[in-house]
Amino acid sequence: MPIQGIVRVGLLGFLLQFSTSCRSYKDKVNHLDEANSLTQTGETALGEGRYDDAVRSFQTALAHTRKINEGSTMADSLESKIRQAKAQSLIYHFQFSRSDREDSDREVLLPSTLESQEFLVLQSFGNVSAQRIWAKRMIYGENDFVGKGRKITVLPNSGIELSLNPTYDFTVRSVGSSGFVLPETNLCEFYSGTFLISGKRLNPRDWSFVCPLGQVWVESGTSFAFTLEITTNGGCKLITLAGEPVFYLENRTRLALDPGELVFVMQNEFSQKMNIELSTYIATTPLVADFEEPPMLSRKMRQQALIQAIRTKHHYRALVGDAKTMDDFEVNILGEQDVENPIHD
Amino acid sequence: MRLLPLVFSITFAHVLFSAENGASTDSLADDSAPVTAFSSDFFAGAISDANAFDEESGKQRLIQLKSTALSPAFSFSTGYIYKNNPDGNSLKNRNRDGNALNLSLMVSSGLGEFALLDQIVCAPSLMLMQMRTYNDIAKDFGTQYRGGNTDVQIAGVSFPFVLPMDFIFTIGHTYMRPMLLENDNVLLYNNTPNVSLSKSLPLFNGDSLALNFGYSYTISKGDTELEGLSSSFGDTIAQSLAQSDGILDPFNLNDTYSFSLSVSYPKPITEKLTIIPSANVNQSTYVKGSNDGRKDTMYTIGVGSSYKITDWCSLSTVSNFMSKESNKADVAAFKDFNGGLTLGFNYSF
Repeated sequence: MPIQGIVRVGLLGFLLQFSTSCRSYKDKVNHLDEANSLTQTGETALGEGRYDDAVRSFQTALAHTRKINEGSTMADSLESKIRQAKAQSLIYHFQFSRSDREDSDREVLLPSTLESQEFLVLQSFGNVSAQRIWAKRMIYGENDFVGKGRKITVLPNSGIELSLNPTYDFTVRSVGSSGFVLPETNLCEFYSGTFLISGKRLNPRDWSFVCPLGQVWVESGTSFAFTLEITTNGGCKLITLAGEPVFYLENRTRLALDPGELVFVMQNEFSQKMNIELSTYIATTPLVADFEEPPMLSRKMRQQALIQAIRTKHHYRALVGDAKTMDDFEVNILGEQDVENPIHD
Repeated sequence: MRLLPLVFSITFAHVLFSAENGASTDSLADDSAPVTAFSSDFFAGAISDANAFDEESGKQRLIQLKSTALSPAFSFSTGYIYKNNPDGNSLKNRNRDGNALNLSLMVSSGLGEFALLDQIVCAPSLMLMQMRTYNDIAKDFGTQYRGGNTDVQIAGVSFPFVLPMDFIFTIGHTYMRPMLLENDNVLLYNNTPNVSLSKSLPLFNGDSLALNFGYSYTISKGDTELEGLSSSFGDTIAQSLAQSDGILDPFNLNDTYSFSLSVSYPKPITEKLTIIPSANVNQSTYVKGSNDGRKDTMYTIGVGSSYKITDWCSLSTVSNFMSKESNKADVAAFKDFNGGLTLGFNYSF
């Protein structure tokens, strides 16, 4: 075979592989069929007195309808059905409370159908529940909403990702055993577990979070992503995955954290910064791997992991662990079988 | 005789592999030696705790980064090469079983890492290299090859762009200046801009196959005719001929464009030892001078191995079978087999 042929076949193979790899596939959704199907499901649920399910189905159907033709007759009809389902649920709620639960604390809670819609659920799996203010309920998948003031409890082997702003470009996701409260749109209270927070930018004093040891304000002029883990001592561990978010404590102590840098938040102070291997962390953290959809800025995270890999001088046979006291933190030793890269102690 | 280097490579790999296994066995034996100062379970709890990590958090492995954006490195290597066809021709009475010693010193530096868009990373680098070749160091052919001892100076800059899906697109430029060691006569000056696209294909067994497609264009300038005459007849006669037209123009016999396609399969045998079978095809087309229209094609298939002795020292072997063809009858087509052993030292700041 002439060499030109070999070269051409090779080049063609490369280009084919390249174009195939770069092509993105997207499932096409027939919004009209989805809307009709969900409307029927909602009506069935309404007839059976399952008001939460009915409202959720109608709302999802409404979302599909709006993608076809905003302000259509079908959308008006669905909005009417949502109001009807909420009214029926309210009547049922108070009838139910008077007859069976007059002495229960639950009667101060509002029916979950009336829950406000500050935070959109982007995705969830397993058992995730919403408590406080409105009646306790489970959270089901995307297009569900969570109201301001809710406490979210994530059980083991479960996870949730929420949008923290109306433009859906500021998100928090949690997986495994965790608990957090969303008292305001500009504040999260994290009590246990691990969280991934990512967004496009944050102006000074726009958003903060509270951990048991205190409050931390976050600011970033560019896109950012960081993980937060509540430690046993009540503080938290912060790891930046993309961007360069700046963290402020209540006493105005300030710290900028580059991708791959890890820091513990202690009482009114930050620990020394450490560098951790981003590629290993991103590949092993369930905050990335356990969800169906990748997190915001996942490409940026991989890019930062690659840059860090080029800059890496030594790998240590040690993993950063928990912080159980106010003075120090744990370092776990890697076993031989866990080591994939050459070790330089 | 021609299979000797291949046999040597395999034997070398086997010896290293055996040495590695031996080392592992020894370390196991050391671990099981009785500890007299403490009871055997003294640290059991502590080690167990230390090895545990919370799977909900992900592995947060500590690393150390380079302190500056520039990352200079030095490397030195020395290699002994066996050549079955040292003359590079197909004559029946040609010399056989030649050898050479290569010495090379290289200074390189990464020039930083730059993020482009959301998915592309560019990590440019600069390289300066001095390479020296002594032919026939065993003096099997007397002084016949002494005139071919060369120094080659190379400077290169490359801009590799890491693209999505593990594609790497590289733009580079290389300057090369080979000179005869005997009289410091510079043979030619080559400027070679080049581009390449490479891809690492993951295999079912966890290994990967590396593919590379490259294109380069070499702009070559040789001696002027005057310089050529000077080296042959001396300066006086050369000066007397210097009135001829074009005598001060450099010869241009080697402008070429080249395509290359290569595939290699780095197979890690142990943490330190890697075997690398590879195949390569390269076609060069000459575009100027008396060689205009000439096309040379070189096919290479071989196997190499690399053993990392320490972080800064490695030993490698190579054995290649090559076949060269040309579309010009006056250009010798030949086959060659070579193999060798190289000891390399490197230090990164």
